[in-house]
Amino acid sequence: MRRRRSPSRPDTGDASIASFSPWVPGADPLGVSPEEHCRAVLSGIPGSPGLSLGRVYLHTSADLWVEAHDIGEEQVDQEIARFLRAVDEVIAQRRKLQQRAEETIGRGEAQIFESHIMLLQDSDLINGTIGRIRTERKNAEYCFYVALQRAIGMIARLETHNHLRERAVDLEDIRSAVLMELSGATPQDPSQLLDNSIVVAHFLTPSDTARMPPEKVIGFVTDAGGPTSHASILARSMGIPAALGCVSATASVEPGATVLLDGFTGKVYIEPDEVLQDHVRRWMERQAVRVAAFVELLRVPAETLDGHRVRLELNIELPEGIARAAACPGDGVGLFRTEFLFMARDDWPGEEEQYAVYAQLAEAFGERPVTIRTMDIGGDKLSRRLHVNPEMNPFLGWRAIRISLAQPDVFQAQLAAVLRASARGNVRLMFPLVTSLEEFRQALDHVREVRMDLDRRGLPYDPGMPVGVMIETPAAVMIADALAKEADFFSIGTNDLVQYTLAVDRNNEHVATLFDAYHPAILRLIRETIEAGRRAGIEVYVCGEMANQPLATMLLVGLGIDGLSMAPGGIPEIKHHITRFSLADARRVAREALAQVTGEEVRRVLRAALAERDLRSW
Amino acid sequence: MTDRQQVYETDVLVRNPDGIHLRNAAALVRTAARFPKAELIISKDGYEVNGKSIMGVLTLVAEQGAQLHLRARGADAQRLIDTLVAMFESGFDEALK
Repeated sequence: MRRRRSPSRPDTGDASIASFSPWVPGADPLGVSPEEHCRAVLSGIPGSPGLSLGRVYLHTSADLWVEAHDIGEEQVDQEIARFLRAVDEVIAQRRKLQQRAEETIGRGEAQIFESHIMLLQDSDLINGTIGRIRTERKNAEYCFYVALQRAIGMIARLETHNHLRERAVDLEDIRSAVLMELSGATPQDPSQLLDNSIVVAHFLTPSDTARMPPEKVIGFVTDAGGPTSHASILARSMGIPAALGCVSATASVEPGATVLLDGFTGKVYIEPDEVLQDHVRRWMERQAVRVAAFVELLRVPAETLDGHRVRLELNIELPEGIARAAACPGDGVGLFRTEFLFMARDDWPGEEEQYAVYAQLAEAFGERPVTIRTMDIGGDKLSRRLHVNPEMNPFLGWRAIRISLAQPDVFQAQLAAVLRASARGNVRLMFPLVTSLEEFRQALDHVREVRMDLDRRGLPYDPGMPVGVMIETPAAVMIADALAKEADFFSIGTNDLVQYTLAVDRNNEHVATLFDAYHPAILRLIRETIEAGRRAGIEVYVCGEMANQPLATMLLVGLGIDGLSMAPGGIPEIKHHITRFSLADARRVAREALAQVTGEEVRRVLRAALAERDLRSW
Repeated sequence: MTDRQQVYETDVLVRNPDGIHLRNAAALVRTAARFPKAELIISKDGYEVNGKSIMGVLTLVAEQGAQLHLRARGADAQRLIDTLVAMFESGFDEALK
C-alpha cells in the first residue's frame, strides 16, 4: 500500500513511521475548543487516527430502488440481451478497476475485482436471472435483484465473523453496478477530485474508492459502517483519518464545504472558522516537528552505547488497543491482558470468542512475538460470577492461575483459543501468580491435553509455542531456579512483586507510601530472578510499571534484563535512555544500587547516574 | 479411466483460519473449472450447492472448523476430488499465495 503526503501526516519518507505519529507522547491539544469555532459538529466512530482539514467531496451512490414490471413475450429475448450487455459492460469496467487498483493501491485490493468478475460470470447467477426473465416475464433489473438477493440474504444470516461479512459487501457492490448499468446511469466520476478532498459518502465499497485518485484524498467520512468497514481499513493503510457511522453526514454537508475531520475522536467540524483553521495548521506544524524528532529515535534500535540490544515490547490492556499498538514500532507484545474477556459479564467467554481476539492480535503483529497472559481476575479485578462474597484478603485469595486450575473447562477453552491463535502469528503464553512448581506443572498438563484435543479436531497450532511464568511473588523468586528448568521465559510483574514482598496494598492510603519498587528487597529479588534465568538460558522480562520508569531503566539493563514491556506511549523515552549509556556503565550503576540499604539511597544513586548523562527521571 | 457413472465423495474440514471467503471461493471454483466434464456438488449440514458456482460456494458460509461434503461424478471426478482435498488440507489460502 502506498503512503502519500497529506497535511495531517507530514511526509517523513517512511510509512511505518508516519503512521506512528499519533503515538508521539503528549499528543498535544489544539489549544482551542473546536465546537465553538464551527457551524456544526457531526459525531461518528473513529475509524483511523489523524486530523485533516479539507474540502468535502460528496460521493453519492446509485439509488437501489428496483421496480418490478411485466414484459411481453416478444420482449423476453430483448430483455435477456439487455441484461447480458449490462453484465459484459460491468465486467469490462471491473477489469479497468483491477488494473487501476494494481497501479495505485496494491495487489490485494486488485484481487477483489478479479473475484467480482467471477461472480459476474457465475452460471447460477446469470442463468438464474435469465430463467426468471423467461418464466416470470419481468424486467431484468427485478430478476437480477431477486437472484442476487437470495444469496446476500443467506450469507448475512449465516455469518458470524466480521471478515466473512465482507462477502455480502462484494455482492452488494456488483449488484449496484449492474443495476446502474441497466438503468443507463453512469457512476459518479471521482477522477476529477480536487486536492485535499475529504470524501463524504453513505458507504464506500472497494469499487468506489478504486476510482478515486488516492493522492487527492485526505480523509473519509461515512454515514454507515464501523471500524471493520472498507473505508476504515483503507484509511488506516493510507495513513489518513476516517470517521464512520456519522449518521447524517451526507445530508448535512455541502459539496466543497470546508470541514475539519478528527479521526482520533470520530468528529467532523463543519465550516471551521479562521481561528480554528489557524490552530489546526499550527497543530500540524508542531506535529511535524515532533514526528521529525521521534523519527530519528525510531530509526535507531534500543541499543546501549556499546551495542547491547534490549527488547522493548508493549503492554496491551484491551482489544481496542491492538491496531494502534501494532502501528507502533515495538519489538512485540510483552503482556496482553485477557481479564477484559472475563469481567462484567455473567457467563464465561467461549473458545471462539477468545480465539477471534487472540488471532486478531497475533495477525496484527505478524512476525513480532505477542505474549498472552491467561486471565488474572481476582484481587481488585472481580468477576461477577466468582466473587459473589467479599473476601477478607482478596489479594491472598481466589485469583489468577488459582481460579484457572480450579475451573478446567474455562481454563482449557482459553488455552485452546491461545494455541489456535499461535498458528496465526508468533504467540507466547504465560501464567500469572504462580507460587509453586506444582501449579506450573498442572498448567502445562492442561496445555498438553488441549494440544491433543486440537490434534483430534484437526486444528492447527504452533507446537513450539513458548510457555512462561510470571514472577510476582517472593515464593516464585525463591524457586526461580526450579521454575527456570521447565519454563521457556520469565516475566517479572513488579507491581504484585512489590505488594507481596513489602506486604503493602498501595490502594490503601495509609500505607501507600510504603509501596516502593526501589526497596533493596525488590532489587535483590529482581537480581535473583534474572540470575536464575541466565543460568537456565531463558529470557527474563519486566512487564510491570517499573519497565516504564526511566529511573529504573539503567538499573534493570545493568542487572541483565532481556526486555522491557510497557504502554506504547512509554517506548520513545525509555529507548532514548537506553541509547545514552553503555552496558558496562549500567552494570556499575546496578552494582552500586544493589549495595544500598534503603530505597531512598537506591533512588539517589539512580538519579545521580541519570543526571551525569543529562537524562531526566520524571 | 474412471467410470463415468461412479460417484466419488469425501468429507473435508475447513482448516484455514479465514474460512472460505471470497478469494478462496474464487480459487476453489477456478480449480473445479479445470475439470469441465465432472459435476461437483458441495454440501454443508445438508445444504447443497453447485461447486462450480462461486455464488453457490459463497452461500455455504464455510468458516474454519466447518465440515463440508464433496461429491463428484463424471470423467475425471476422482482427480477433481483428490485435487480439492489437497487444497483443503494445505490450508487453502496458503496454496493461493
